[in-house]
Amino acid sequence: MFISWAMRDGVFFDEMTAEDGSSRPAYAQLQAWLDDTPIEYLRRKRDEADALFRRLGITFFVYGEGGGVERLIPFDIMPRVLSSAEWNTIESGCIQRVRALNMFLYDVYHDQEILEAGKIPKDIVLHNRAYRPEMAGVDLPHQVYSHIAGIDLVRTGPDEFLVLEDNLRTPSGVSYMLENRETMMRLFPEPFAELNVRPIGSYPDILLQNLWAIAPAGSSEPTIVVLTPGNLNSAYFEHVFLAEEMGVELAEGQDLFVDDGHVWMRTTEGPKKVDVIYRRIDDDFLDPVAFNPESTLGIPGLLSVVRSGGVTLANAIGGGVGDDKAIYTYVPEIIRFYMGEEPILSNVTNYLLRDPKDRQYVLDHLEDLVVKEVHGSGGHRMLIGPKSTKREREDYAKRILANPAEFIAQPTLALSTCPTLVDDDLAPRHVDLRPFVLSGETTTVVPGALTRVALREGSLVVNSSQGGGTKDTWVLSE
Amino acid sequence: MLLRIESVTAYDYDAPPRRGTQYLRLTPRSMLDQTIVDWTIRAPGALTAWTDMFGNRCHTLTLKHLPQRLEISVAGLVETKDTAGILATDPETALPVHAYLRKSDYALPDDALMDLANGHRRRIIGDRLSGLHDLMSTVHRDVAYDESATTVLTTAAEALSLHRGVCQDHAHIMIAAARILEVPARYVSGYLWTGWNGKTSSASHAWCECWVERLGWVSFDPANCVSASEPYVRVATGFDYATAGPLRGIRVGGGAETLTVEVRLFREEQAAQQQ
Amino acid sequence: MLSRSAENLYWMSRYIERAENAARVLDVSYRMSLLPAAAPKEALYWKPAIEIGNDPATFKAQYGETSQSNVMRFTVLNRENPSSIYSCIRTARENARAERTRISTEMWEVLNETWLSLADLDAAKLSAWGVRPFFDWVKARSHLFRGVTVGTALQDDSFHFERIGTFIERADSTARILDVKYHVLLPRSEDVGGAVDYYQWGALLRSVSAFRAYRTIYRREITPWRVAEMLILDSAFPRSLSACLAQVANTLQLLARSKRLECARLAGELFSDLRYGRIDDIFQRGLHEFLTDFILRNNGLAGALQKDFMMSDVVE
Repeated sequence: MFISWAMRDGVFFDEMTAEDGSSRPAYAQLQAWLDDTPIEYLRRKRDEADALFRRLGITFFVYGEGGGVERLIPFDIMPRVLSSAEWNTIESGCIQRVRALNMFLYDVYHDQEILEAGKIPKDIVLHNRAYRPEMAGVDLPHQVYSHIAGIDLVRTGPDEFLVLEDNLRTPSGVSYMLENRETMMRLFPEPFAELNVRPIGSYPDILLQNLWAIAPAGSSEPTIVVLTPGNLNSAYFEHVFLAEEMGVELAEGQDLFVDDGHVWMRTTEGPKKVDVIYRRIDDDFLDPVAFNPESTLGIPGLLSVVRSGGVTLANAIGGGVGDDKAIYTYVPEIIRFYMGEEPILSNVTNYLLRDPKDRQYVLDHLEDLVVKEVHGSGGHRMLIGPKSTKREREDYAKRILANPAEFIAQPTLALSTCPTLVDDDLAPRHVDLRPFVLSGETTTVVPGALTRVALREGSLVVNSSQGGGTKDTWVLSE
Repeated sequence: MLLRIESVTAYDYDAPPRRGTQYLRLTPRSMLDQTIVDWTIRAPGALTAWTDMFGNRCHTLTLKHLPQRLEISVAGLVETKDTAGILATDPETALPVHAYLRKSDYALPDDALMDLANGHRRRIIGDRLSGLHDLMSTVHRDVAYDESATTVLTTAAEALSLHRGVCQDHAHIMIAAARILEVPARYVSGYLWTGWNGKTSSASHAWCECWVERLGWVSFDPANCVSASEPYVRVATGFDYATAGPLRGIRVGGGAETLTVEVRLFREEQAAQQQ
Repeated sequence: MLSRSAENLYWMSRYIERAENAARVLDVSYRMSLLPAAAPKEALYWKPAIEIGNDPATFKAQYGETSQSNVMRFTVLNRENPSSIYSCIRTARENARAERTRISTEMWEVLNETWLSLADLDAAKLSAWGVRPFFDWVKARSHLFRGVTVGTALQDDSFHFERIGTFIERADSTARILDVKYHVLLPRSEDVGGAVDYYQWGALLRSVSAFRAYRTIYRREITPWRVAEMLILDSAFPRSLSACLAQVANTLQLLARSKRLECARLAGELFSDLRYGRIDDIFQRGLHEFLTDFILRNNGLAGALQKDFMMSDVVE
């Protein structure tokens, strides 16, 4: 099958096809395989993939009017390929970034050296909603706060990988990374045999090993649980998946209680002590006595056990101050400060609207920029300048002026594209990349990532709640 | 001054709640101006001790079945010292002083609080310590003591608009105004001995502390318009009542609750000699 | 295992069993309503179908008239009635979804597929499906699920809780069916021995898959006395109270390990009464009284089970 499409407006970098129409080196073998493969075959495989996902119940929850509905995240069977050199940059850049952010988190909850050194304004950290004073002075095993981090990257050129966002709280998507791979190996055994794709199946093992490593001192056979808000959560499938893969209990708040300085799990054989909680519940809901008293998802008394070291949470409470969109601007400085190194991966230019100069620039250039809320997530409530109407821009400007510190802006990025099977043909669609960085005794990334793809033509929004899909990501060995 | 303290905090519920978890901040610690000679705390269940972000000595109480009346009693002996309200730095908290500028629910600013603060801006910038004393006087003068006007849920803004309140409200108003002026401020809950005429006297009390460079934390009691001295026993500090109050908990069932606090303070002359 | 998991699995099985029993009762009512009858068909066939269920009061409040289509709507389609076939399967599938890590992939797939076929069912779709084929399908899915459970599940505590759920629900259901049908059928003594009577009792037996078994055991004409004896005391018949309680008592012994649990004691006691009971004594005491008492004790046993395994609390 021969692929050609007209995307030669020179704006977007296509990861498969070079400007002269030839395929780039990382895709050469895939292209050769595609050349021999009729499109009908791909369509049939896509239907098989859909059936497989539906049968396995790999769904997420979408909230809409009148309650939630279960949906499949669209899966695109065209893999995204990264060369080993490209991967090395991503891997070392993400590890550097997460190590620096963990050191930053330790610092802001202890001596605040970076604030004393004047590298970041104190207010941005200490008055941040995501900064949890409750964690001040708490010593965590290996001084790790974000044990599981997802770093969102975008690509704008052959060597340009930029960090769009850090996710240090409860990043999701790793189950899709792993299930996408399983599905692809089932559907396309031939290309796998030929391409030397690096395996990623060790992720749950590494995660489990890290969770063992952070158990409080004295727990030789730690009991680990995954804590979920329950089956109405959009990522519930992933919580089930991870608990199953690691062979640990999937607990809800009601299954756990605090007594005698420990967390206990209600079991059919009586209470059982819990040492490590991989929690997928936001900080605010973890302990109704300490935080939101309305929360029924959490464990009353949990904070007291965390503070006295009776249980370790992954990720730690208060890690959000490291991925806040206002802190993001300072991450290169954070890397320099703690690591004494230049950042391997660059940030996207970021305008902080709390700053009057930046604010004026942004208000004058709304048409060219993307504006987001500092605390927002999931692509909701953001303004995409080039796609907005005059009215929308005016309304948004009012919101900005009412509370400038709550907003940041970025230039619209020329996100790279990858071939994607849409309707019945291959077409270029914009993608991003989320590798998952695991920290315990050491910091590692399995050679793979979740590639999210904006399925609508021309769309730059890859979020699953906004019509995005996913792809398998193939990292080639040398 | 050697003070003996006996206090009972009780919750009466409509019906016995099923399960409940409480954080208790009822145990004072030794600091520059007070030494804890002896302290015990009693509750109808096992207490687990821990230290919170402010360095407060806390206990967690988990009960499977709560009694219809939950009683927690403390008793102890504390030796206090007059330090002219100056407490210096607090080595037992890792929380940076700058964090005490954070907005907290009981002390959120509104226009009236802004006006109050701005009226003292110049003095406080010029000489923080005497400026804060002025602020304390203003709060004391403008907000009349009235036990019936406010509740434990009243915010600084609400109390200021009423121009009435109790020590908790005075403290919140002063904290809110201080923070508007970029002065770190914290809430103190404790006891106040007022038995100068030889009688025992009873009072839980609340005041505040503000950060003054070179001096550290300095206490201000806007309810009485003085800095804390020997009759004051500090039990817990926090951003506001929510984080420094004596009890905070969650329960299942039980209906409405009524809180009563009984406090008795005795001055022990003899023992002071022996110390 | 987590107490909540045990509870989910236990109720997953109970709800599947409940859906199957609802289909059985309705199938028989439907079949019987095609026959000529002296009394109004509503009273004879559809009212009992509601009385067997858990919540006749709600039906009355929501629908009033006990017509065939109202009964169908309430017991098959009603989203709010927790015991409608629709709700039972939805709940069973939700519980299974919460326990994906504990059940076999095959068990999950059976329940998930069952739910997906049912999710958008309404009155029009049900009538297009065909009422009898639909009931057959529900029964078949339940059989399939139970078979898959026995054939693929690890025989650990999860499995035991699933089994207990099945048998506690089945015992409850058999007792209710017998109680209501007996109540409805027996006063019509003028029909004893007549064709209608034969069909009625035959239908009751069919509703619990006992028609063929009855013939094998008794080789005689169908009498109420014998039907009751078989459904209560005959431990060879898998839907009898005795057979169900034997399963529950044995499984609880396994789960209790060396502990002395109240639920195991109650199950043993209830089973002994059935194992050594005599039908004459039961009738002497009054069948209705006996069955009412059984349903209460079976519920008490279920309550003790939940207390013993599913409500561990503060460290004692």
